[in-house]
Amino acid sequence: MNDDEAIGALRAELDREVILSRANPDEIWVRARVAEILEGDRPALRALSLVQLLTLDAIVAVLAWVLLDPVVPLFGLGLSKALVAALATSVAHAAATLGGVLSSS
Amino acid sequence: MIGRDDFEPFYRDTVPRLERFVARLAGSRAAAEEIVQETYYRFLRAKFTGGSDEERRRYLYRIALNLLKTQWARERRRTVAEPPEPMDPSATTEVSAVLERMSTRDRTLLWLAYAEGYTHREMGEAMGVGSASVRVLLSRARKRFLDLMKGRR
Repeated sequence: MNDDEAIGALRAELDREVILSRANPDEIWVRARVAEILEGDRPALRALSLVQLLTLDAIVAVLAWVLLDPVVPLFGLGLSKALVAALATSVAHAAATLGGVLSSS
Repeated sequence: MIGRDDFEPFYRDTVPRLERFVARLAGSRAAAEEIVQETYYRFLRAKFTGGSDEERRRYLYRIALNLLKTQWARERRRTVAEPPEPMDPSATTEVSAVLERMSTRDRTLLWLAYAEGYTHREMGEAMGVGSASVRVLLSRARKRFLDLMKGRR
């Protein structure tokens, strides 16, 4: 085997298919979208005091954990992705409302 | 963020090659699967909307390479020797055995050059090194590969 043949063998090897468990692109997209929604309202909350922000952050973090972690089990239970996205939107709005309450208190 | 309808065809078009790239560098099947999924998640979160398909694909590889670097650092820190799960022992070929003996950097260079057909500049962008360095590093990686192949004959 000369150098050209060796490089040809390298190209063939690199082109050889590998079998991996592949994620559903919809699930990846929903996960990213949920994270985007949850973070979307944060800039508006910058006016809060540090303590208020930390309190709200902790609440949002817990809600995010509750929402994001069981995305697949939620689907397994028959909940649609649209419903999960709607839930995430509700959480984000609730967080923003809470932020408003905290800042005016 | 890229829309769901745009994301799915992009994912279908790019995931087979990205899987091949990551699988050859991640060290284990579990790590490869996690990195591929995380790459697309970060791509979406990065809000990369402009550019051609080719530019989006290159951006995807840059994310994957950063995740691989983190994975390699994690592997180096691991004190208890846990042999990684082999990708597919039955599919071991002469070339794959040679690649296994090469450094992750050399394998990355060979992949980007010979599987992706990247220019030196594109490889440099993906790997965070200058074009001139890529030329030298690739030449060395190619020589090491050929020497190892010759050594097996």
